[in-house]
This record gives sequence, structure tokens and C-alpha cells, in this order.
Amino acid sequence: MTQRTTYRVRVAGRDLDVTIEATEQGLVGQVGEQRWAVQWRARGPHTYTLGRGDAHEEVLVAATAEGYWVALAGYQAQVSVVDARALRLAAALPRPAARQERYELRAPMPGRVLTVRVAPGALVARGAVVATLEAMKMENELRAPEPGRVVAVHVREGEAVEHGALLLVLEPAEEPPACSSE
Amino acid sequence: MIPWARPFRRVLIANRGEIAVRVIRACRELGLHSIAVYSEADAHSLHVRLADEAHYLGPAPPRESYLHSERLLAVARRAGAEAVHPGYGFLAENADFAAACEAAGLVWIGPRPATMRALGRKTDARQTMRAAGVPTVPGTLEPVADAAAARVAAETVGYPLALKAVAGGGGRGMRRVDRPEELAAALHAAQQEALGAFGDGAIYLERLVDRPRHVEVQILADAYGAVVALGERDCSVQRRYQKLLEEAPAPGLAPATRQGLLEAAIRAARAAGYVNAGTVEFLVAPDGAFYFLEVNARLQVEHPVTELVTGIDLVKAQLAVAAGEPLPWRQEDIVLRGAAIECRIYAEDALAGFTPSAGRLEAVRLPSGPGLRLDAGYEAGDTVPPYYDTLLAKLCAWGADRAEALARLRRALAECAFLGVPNTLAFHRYVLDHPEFTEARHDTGFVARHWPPPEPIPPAVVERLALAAALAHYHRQRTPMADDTSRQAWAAQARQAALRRWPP
Repeated sequence: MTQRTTYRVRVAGRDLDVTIEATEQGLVGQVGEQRWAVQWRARGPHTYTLGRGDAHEEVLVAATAEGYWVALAGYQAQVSVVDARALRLAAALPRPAARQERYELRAPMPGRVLTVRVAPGALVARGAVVATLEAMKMENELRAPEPGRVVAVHVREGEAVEHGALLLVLEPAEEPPACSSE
Repeated sequence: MIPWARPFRRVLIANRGEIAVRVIRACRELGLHSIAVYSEADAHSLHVRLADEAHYLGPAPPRESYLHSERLLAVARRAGAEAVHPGYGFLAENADFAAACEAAGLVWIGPRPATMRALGRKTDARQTMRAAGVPTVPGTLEPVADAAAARVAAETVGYPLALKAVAGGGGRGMRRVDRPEELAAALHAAQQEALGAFGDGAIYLERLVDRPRHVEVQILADAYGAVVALGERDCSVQRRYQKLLEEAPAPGLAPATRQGLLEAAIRAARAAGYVNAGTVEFLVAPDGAFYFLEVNARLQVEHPVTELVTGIDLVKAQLAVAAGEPLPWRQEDIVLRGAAIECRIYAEDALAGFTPSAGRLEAVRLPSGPGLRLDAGYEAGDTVPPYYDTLLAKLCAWGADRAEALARLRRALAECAFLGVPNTLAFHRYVLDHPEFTEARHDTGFVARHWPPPEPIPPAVVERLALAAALAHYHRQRTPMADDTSRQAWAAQARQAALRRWPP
């Protein structure tokens, strides 16, 4: 008896459908149009051997909150895996209306706030630099992810911030006519 | 081994990561006692585990630990250190710290504080070099006072030009200016950045050399006036003035240019009264003209490629020179063999604009086999802290020629993994396969021109990554992963609880 499970796998910006079939001869894996007899053997902590037909290679895997870290052949990526059936079910449910949510810009790393380029009330374009953060010997430009209006600024220039510290709050607004990004 | 009388035995290493590990290894090979220091974030790190002893410095931020001179000197006193090796970065080029070490009776493993001071001010260094007949980039010999003065000077220097920090280095306080109308804003930005980074906002102007190669010469000088040049390195693969890949010798360099560079570097070292290991950096224009850039008065990150082609252990040589030994080599003894290339594997997301990353290295796979050298600062299970330089490891390959070194490095990268922390491995694989690099037609603009490519991970590899993740997920849904420690812990706990209840 053959049992098939299809996964929607997101890796390096691509969505791929991967099907794993349990047959009496063993597992068969399919990615797009390609099919292989596959083997998956755990060898040690995070260490696996992936067999694809006659080719075998070492794979490192670690589970994360969002999916998996996978490394093979000198490349690595964060990969998310979702059961395609669950995805179809979710798609069938009524879509919640897009909410007008405020966006919190947080420090992506610990560092020192070098500049704050906006004040409450300012309109910013998508991608506009709103602040710069000095961390790990570099100046990092923090940009608005969406067009919006600055609701609050929670840091001062020169202030040291921890990873994840709230820097400023934006609310959705129409894109201002002139893009002020540098 | 260099036979030398040892005026010091106990060496404090005022650094962390791979360079601390490198110095500890040199100490161990010479039978010297290594003393490591660590911040709160590094209490369990590799350099602490490898050193003969390790001492706590302070909280994680560098200013309170690795940059804190008084704390370092206090540890040196407490631990009975006799010499200090600063590594690179942190206080390595801080003349005040070097002088404070000497005042405390410690041997400073590096150039004299006065030399460091003179070379640290870039305008002074340019004047010294010019007087010694070393070609410098056309530009101002003094810092510019303000925007108006800069505008006047820029007329003579010509556009495009570079604004550079007098106290600078490493690309900080540096700005490219293409047109006069950009000058005032760029000057202000450069001044602010230089002030923040070095406590000195002075800026000078240099003409921008078009499509240059970054070529540097390794020098070694003893306290008795002997200077040797240990060949050159090409470090043209950079982004934001930070090197990513280096090699020795520099490929495609005309013999006359190469000879000119080596002689200029020796003249530069003599003019500065240089002692110990150092690097003289040059820009080489496409026509072969070269210009002095700066002297790095310390050990360089990329020193291993020179060690691989010369067979000379630079760190052990540094220790010997600091101990008062004369150099055992004359220039004619320096013979280069083969070619070596280094990849700096950074904990930076190369696919997202080289964003610094941090976190736990869940698993590490290290390459091995002929012609390889790996200098890592971390092992599996270590956490990369977010406070410091993001260098994870340096992977070097040596070959009888450049083609063999390239092939070995490509092969080694395919065997390598630092799982759990975004890194630059995919970038290095891309560079090593790029015809502009393999044919040595590249310059310092290579990364900006070509990275990221449309498909940084080859499509066939993306498919295998997807297949592997799906298989891992498939098996995990059926049986918990063997390394899923949280689940194992719960299961063990439940079993123990059941046993305690028995007999009922």
C-alpha cells in the first residue's frame, strides 16, 4: 500500500511541492518533476545521510521555531515545511479582513542609536531610512517596511539599545509623494 | 623552532575569537604560558577553553571588556603576565594602551608606541611616506578645516574623490564623492562617523583610484634595523572596505610592479622605524601604478596566506622579535612557494546584504584533506555573541599554483557547514566560480557589481534542501528527532516518575 504526503516547502525564496511516498520498496521523494528512491538515516545529533538514487550526501538539520536549518553541499538555508493538506484547508476558510495594524520597529541587534531621522507625525515612504544603529563596528540603516506615519519615537540619539528594543511605532498611511529614501 | 632566550614566559592575549586561538596555539608550540581574557558573553568560548588560564574582564560590550585598558592591565598584573599580544582589532593599534603596557613592565608584542602613533595619523603617515619616496595617492597632506576649505582642496584633488578619517582605518569615516554638490553633506557624515569611531572627526581628501586592486605587503622587522618583506597579498574582494577573500601571491601582477611594491614596503617600514610584524597597504591601478594607503601596525586577519606560501609562522616570529631576537632571515631567504587563498567566513547573512547575525551554532562540519588550513573561533554548540566582529572562521587552501588552490578551496567549501547562523559560505562559493575572479580580472568593486546574483544557491541545491527538509519533517512527525532534547527530557522525566511510583 502506498501512502503519499505532500509538503509545501519554502526555501531561498522559492515555494516547492515535495511529495514523500512510502512504498513497499521504501521511500520515494518527488520535487517538481523529479523522482528518486530516497533514504534518510540519522547518524548523530543534527547529522543525517540523504540518499537519492545512488547518490548519498551528508545533511545537517536543526529544528527551529519557524522550521528547519538545513545545510548540505556547502550551502545552508532556513526552510519551512507545511503539510499541503493543512494549507488547502486554511485556504478554504474565509480570509480575515486586512487589519490596520500599527507596526513596531525594533532593534534588529544590540547597538547604539546614531541618528533618529524622523519625529512623531512624520510621513515616511516605504524603504525610507528612519534611524541608524551602530552595531558590530558598522552603521546600519533602519528603514520603514511600509509607508506610514510615525506615531511615537522611543529612543534618543546616542542611546544604547538591546536586541529587540522598541525604537519607533508607525501606523499605516498613504505613501507620501516624494520618496525620501537615500 | 626559533632558538631564543626567553625574557618572557607568560603571555596575556588581549583579544577573543579566532585570533586569540591563533596566538594561544603559537604560545603552546613555543612552550609559553597563555593567559586568556573574556567578557561575560565569552565565558565558555573556545579561546577560554584552549588557554592555559583565563580571566574575567567585564560585561559583554567591548568598552567594558576588550577595550577596557585598566581592566586588562589589572588582569595582567593579577595573572603575572610578562607580555601582551593584542591580536587585531580592539586595542591592537592603540598606542596609549601599548605605552601603558610598557609602563607596567609588560612586553608589547607589536611595534613601538611612538611608531603606532605616527602611523595612526593618516596625514602624518602620508607625509612620512612621501618623504621616503613611497608613492602616495594624490590628495591633501593636512586635514580640511571645513566645507569651504574642502571645496577649494577638491578643485586641486579632482573628482571623484574619497573623504578619509585622519585617525581612521577599516573604512570608517570614509565617503566617496562624485560631484562638488555632494561634498558638504558627505564631509559632515564622514566627520560624524569618524568622531564616533575614533573620537577625532578630522578628515582629509584623496583622489579616488579607478578600479583599483588592493595589494598589501607583509613586513617583518627586528629591533636591530633588519627588515624583510614576506611577499604580497591581494585583498581586492571587499564590501564596505572590509575584506572577504585574500590571496598570496597577488595574481596577474607584473614582476616590475611586484618588485616595486616590495621595495616600497621596506622603505616605508624603515622610514617609520618599524619593529615587529606589519602590513603596508597599497592601491594598484590598472596601469600598474601603485599608491601607499596605510600601514596596519599589527598582525592582519589574512596573515595565514602569507604563512602558507612562505612557510614562516608570523605569530611565533612576532613573539621572538618582541623577546629581542634578531630576524633569522635575510630578504634572499624568503622564497615563495605555490599559492594560497583565504575565505573569511563571517556570521553575516550574505543573502540579505551581509546583515550581522548571531546565535547558537547547532552543528559544524569542518572540511579536511590536502592543502587546507582552518582557523576557527567557534565549535559546534558555541554561541556567536552579537557584540563583536562577526568572523566565524578562516578557511585557507594552499596549492602548487593558483588553480590548484582554487580547486581545493571550492572542494573544501562544499564540505563545510556552520549550521544555525547565517553566514557567507554561499558568497564564497559564488566568488570562487566567477570567471572575473578565476581569471584575476577583478578589482575592489567586484562585490558591489556582482553580489547578490539572481540565484545565489543553485536551483538543484535548492531542490535537495527542500527534499531534505521534507524528509526531516516526515520522520519527525512519525518519531521525535533523536536530537530533540526537550522531548527526550520530558520522556526521561516521565519514565523516572513512573519508576518512583513503582511498586505502587
